[in-house]
Amino acid sequence: MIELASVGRTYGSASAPVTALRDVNLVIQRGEFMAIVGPSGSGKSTLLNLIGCLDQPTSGRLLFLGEDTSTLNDTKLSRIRNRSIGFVFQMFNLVPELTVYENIELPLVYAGVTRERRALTTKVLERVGMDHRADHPASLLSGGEQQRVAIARALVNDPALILADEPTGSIDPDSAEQVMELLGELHDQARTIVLVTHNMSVAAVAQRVVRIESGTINEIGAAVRPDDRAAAAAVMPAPDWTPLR
Amino acid sequence: MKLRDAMLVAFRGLTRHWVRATLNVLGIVAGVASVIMLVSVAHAVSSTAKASVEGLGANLVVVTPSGPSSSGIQRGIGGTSSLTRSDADALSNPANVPDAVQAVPSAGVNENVVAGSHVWQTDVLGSTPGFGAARGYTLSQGLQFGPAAINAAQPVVILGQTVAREVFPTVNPIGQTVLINTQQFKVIGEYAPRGYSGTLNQDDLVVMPITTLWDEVLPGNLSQIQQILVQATSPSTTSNVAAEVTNTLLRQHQITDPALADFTVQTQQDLVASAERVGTVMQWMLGAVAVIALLTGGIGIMSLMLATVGERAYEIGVRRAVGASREDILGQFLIEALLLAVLGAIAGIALGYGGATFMGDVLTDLPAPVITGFAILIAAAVALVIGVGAGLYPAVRASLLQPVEAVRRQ
Repeated sequence: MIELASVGRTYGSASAPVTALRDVNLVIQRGEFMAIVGPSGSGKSTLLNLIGCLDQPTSGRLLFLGEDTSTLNDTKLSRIRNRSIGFVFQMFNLVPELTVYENIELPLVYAGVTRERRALTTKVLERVGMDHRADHPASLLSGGEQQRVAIARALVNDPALILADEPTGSIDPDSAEQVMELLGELHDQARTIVLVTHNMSVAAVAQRVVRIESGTINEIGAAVRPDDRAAAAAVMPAPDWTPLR
Repeated sequence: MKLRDAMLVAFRGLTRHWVRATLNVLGIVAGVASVIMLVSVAHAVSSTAKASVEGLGANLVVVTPSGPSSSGIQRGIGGTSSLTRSDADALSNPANVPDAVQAVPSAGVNENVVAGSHVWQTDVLGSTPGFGAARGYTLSQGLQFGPAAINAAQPVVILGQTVAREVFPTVNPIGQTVLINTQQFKVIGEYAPRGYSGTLNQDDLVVMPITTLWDEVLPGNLSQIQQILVQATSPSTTSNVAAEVTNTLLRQHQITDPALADFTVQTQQDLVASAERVGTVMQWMLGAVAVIALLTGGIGIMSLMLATVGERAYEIGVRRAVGASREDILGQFLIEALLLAVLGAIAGIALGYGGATFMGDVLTDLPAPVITGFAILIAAAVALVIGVGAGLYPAVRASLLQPVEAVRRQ
């Protein structure tokens, strides 16, 4: 689905470059659940931003569904972010002055969906169990609730790829558990998931773990088999909210 | 993205930050309001000037004692008039001005008219029996003074409707006596109401024989004539009359070079046109001042919107991450600016309209402002151009933010 060939990302001026990523080669298969782990500052968020077409490599090639992203213009990249990718960020990144409902429908607004907008938005709202808060301003929700709204927003356009950057990093353990359950279910529905975390127990849910250190990749293979995911989840506390539909 | 959604997104952007939006809009409101108020006042002044000229009557050629004297020195106000009684007589002679019906000299002063306990300040005019015909006044009752009254400088007056009503609220003024400049005058006639011409009350005047004015109201003032109205036989002969009048007066004053004429001859069309020209210049001048105010408002909008782009980098980043293209962001900011400008224009029009009306009520010395579609159109158009112009640069800045930069700035 996504292929990175000797991808590098450098920041700053030519005279004093700061290298965030160096010669990264990585293939992400369709339907995969992959975790990227590494200490902070290792370049894992940079890598995720590149995969998510929020940023462009300064060297190498990144193929998204077979297309070299460096050849795509802003409109095409925006369409990829809109239709094919759902983002879940550590700080949720909701628009604070909009309501829960308005935040979730944003991708549909930019996709130009009108007739099915209400039905699709309501469906994902119910799916993450936030339908009772639809008209609340996003800024007044708890962290866990905001993250569920963010997941609903990531899902509303039915993207093939979900990118999660430390999705449990700013929320309480119970909410974290719910978020990981949700991601697991999304994977079961044949979505590709790429998760960035520095927490190995979170990474344990993935099929495949990639370690990144000082901007280079060191694949450590599958930490846990897909079949073992239930077992891994069982180690964590049971969710205290109604199962997802 | 659908246009309707773009409008909705921009609308939410404004309503959820209404304090910021209000501050943004204030500059435009003040600018539009000042355009409308100033242009309205200018329009009122010019239309009053025009109406007072038009109110003179039909087919008139107006002779006034202006222009350079024979020595080339411009006469100031209060100087001796170059027009004399013999000039008026010469212009009345059909041999000199064959296309004229009559020539009516006049002079005037602003004086109190007193009757018993009633006092009214008005224009006291001295003229000849032809005044009513030349200026379009008819008697509602009483008599017109005749040539004999001129020759004898009889102390008689004809009252305009307003003066009659103010000085004699309860009795018929005909046959009554009024005091003007401590002299007694007998009321022999009353003009039928003419109403207003623009904001000029044409019924607020007193007319007496011009010789009486010279002798009794303006003694020692050397029988000056402030104006001679020459009535042409028809509108098509007014230019002939103007030429005949000019030749006659040049001969009377023994001036050979018309450029040195110490009088001015204007047809009524000339006067209307010059009043209109002055009014138009004044409107544009005040309009320009007001547009500068509007521009200042626009600069305010631009700086506020630029600050907004910085503040909203996070929001822009989030929108870009979920699929907004550069055009979407550009559109959102432009539509926000456009909405602000439209709102500002509407509020400014309302405020300007109210302000102009209020000014008309308070400043009674000024003609009541006339609110024109032109003023409103200019104000609205400039507000829109400025609003969008001011919004354009911040919008481009917003659209050029890299999505990842924006998300990082949380």
